[in-house]
Amino acid sequence: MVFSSLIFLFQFLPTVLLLYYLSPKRLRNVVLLLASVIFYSWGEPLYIFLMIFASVFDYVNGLLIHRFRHRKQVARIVFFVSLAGNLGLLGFFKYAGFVVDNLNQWFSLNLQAVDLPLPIGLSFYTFQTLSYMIDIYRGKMEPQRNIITFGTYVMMFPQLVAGPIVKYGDIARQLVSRNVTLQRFGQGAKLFIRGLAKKMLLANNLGLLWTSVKATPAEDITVLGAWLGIAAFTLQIYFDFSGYSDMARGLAKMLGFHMKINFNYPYISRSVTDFWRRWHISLGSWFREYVYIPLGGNRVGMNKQLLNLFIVWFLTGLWHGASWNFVVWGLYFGLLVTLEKLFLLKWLNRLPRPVAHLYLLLAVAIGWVFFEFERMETAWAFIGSMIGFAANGWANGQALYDLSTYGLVLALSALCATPLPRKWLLRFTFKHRLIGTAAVPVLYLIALVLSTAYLVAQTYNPFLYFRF
Amino acid sequence: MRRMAQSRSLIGLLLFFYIGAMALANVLTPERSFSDTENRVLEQRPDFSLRTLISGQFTSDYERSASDQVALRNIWVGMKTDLDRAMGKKESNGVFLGKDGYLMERFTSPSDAELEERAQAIRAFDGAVPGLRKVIMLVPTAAALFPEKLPAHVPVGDQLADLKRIGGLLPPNIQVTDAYSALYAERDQPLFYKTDHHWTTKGAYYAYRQLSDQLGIVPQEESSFRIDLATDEFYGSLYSKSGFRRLKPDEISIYRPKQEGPVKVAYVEEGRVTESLYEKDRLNEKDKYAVFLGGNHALIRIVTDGPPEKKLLVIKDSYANSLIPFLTKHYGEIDVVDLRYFTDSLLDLTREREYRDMLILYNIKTFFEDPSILNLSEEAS
Repeated sequence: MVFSSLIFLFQFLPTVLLLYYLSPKRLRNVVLLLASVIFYSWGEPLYIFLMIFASVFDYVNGLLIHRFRHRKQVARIVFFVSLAGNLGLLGFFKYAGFVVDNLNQWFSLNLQAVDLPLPIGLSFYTFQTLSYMIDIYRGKMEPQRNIITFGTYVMMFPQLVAGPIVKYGDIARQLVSRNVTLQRFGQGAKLFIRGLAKKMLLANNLGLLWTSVKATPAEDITVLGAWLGIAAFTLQIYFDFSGYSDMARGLAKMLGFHMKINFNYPYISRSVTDFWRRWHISLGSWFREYVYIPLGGNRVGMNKQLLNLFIVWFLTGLWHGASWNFVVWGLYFGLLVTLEKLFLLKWLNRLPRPVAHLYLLLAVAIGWVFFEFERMETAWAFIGSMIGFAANGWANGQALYDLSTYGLVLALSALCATPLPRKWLLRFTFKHRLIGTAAVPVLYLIALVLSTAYLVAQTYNPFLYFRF
Repeated sequence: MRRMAQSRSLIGLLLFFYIGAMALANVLTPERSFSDTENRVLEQRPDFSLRTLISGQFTSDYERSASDQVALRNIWVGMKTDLDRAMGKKESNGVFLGKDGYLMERFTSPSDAELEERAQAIRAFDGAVPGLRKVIMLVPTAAALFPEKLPAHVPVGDQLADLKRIGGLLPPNIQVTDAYSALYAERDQPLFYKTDHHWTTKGAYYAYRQLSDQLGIVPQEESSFRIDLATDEFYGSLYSKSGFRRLKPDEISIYRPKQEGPVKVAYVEEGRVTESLYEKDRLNEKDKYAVFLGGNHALIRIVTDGPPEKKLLVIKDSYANSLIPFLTKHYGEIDVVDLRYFTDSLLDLTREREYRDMLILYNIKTFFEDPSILNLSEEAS
């Protein structure tokens, strides 16, 4: 199930909220766990067993590692078994086809890969359980003895499908006891509505433009068309992903959990280093804590440090998908971060702010080209169109039409990617207390209603009788 | 701070009651089986079975029925297209919202291969029945005739050029009627419906006049008809397809000769015979354009009090439906074949009925996008 669907919004969510709040506190985890199982199995009626297996596997391993914490050898064996199990799942379902394809190509083999669909959320929940296992192995935490509570942590439906990646330690106490007030529930509702509107009103509309530009043959794209397209995608992926995170955090909050912020206006950064502290924060901090620092982090020699950076960014890219273009995308950012570390950041700090902003936006937008085009040649051809190497000139009717129809959406989206609208709203409510108190809920209600309209209209599918 | 807390709590309550109310409304809205607006059967709640659950069929059907059956469905869709319009969007589902309430479709020029394929089919048929006089008319779309009504910068394919391209590929004995110029000369008139992709009866009339030269007939004056308003509540195909609202409906008029002779219209496959070219019942339905000859049928045989030795074969799409009534005075028998439905041998039919003339009449978009015209060559080979 996805959040932006009619059955989630008008069947699943009201039912779950009602049952959750009507049941006594000690049963709420059970309700949440059952709801999550239904949520997941709705789209994946078979892979749910994979996830249940993974949860039980990690639950047992966690207990074992803790039990043998004084017998390091045993604990280490269990730890590595569990590591191999989790990474094995991820490797088998996500990367097997990719590895086989590459082996075939490098060694002219003819191996057959089992072509299985990727289980939804696999990349997210294995990272959660990995963090759990590593922290217990390091002796940083006690394992969870209650399997329901543990299951609730792994499978909790708000963050199950697309994050944020929640570390067990961040949420351990809330899993046992949490306080909900109407005010907190309302805070969650606000986040959820904001996320839904980002997805339905902005991301999906921007996606239409990008899809049409992406489908245009390279020789027909003009400079203006290419820039409009990549601007649309840059905004689309932000609103799509951060919208989903907002919905997840909002739902969690409505259920009494507090999850850390996952996107913090990444596009207002003035360096790539800063960008990655604001973009998909839970993933970046996961890699820092469980890969970069264990490898030695900054406290090793320059060569080792560069190697560490390479590993982290290689993996960050690969995590986004089993294809080389994601690796290129990751390493591209790794390179920029390294350059910034070495000298670029100092320069950037001395430059006028708008120049630094421009640098960051360009760097990210070009990154998205590699993210979006699986083949290198097409990515380079697109960048060629952006800088005017393509034969089709600056602009044509199609590009002007796109500009005239999507100009407002693009401008509005760009504005919403900055904290300005929030600031203005805050200032307004501060100045006009009474109207402000009423205006904000009205605004959110409008966003909710319009999002519903888009949700319903998505399935508007007139039968075109006049053709036949 | 206190006010902020109040406003937050209020939003929490709003969300909760909103989704609750929608859930309730969905339960209370009775299941509908058909949507007039979308002209399709709506998905019903599926029966549960373990097999369909495991295959994923159950959940996807359930989800489809949940959205098909959602309360106030049409209102939500209208709200969405209204918001789209407010945001500057001028296109929905491949339909442009033009000036003065004109809805127009996108047209993409055919490739050389597509052109050649079609020309080849016609040539093959021509070779198989050489004695028959053949006239072809491809009607441009509203977007080509009224490009100024389109939103700014919409790329329009050059339909005039495409018509010339196909004309150049046909043998000289096949006459190409220039519907483009005929309609262009009258472009201050309402030649096309605004909410439908068809031409109006007036548009069809001008095309008929243009045809007369090649068919060797003397066209009837427009003044020899009584123009009846059949309906002024016609919301056509483009209205449905786009989902745009707040547009004025179209009028459909019927041209009746002041001296009207008897006709017999046989819907051959259906085995139904009527005495009118118009199916008035269809005016109560969604697709009111079907008032002309009851929409599209595999074979319609029209017998009139025109000269009995003059027989005409029309190979056509729905554009012909409103033009054919003008031809009834000139031909004693008109056979109307829609290749999208007609499955018998067209060659056999041609030889058996001994037609004198053959008219291929299509809208340019259907002609290039629908492959049925290619059946002509399958016939001949």
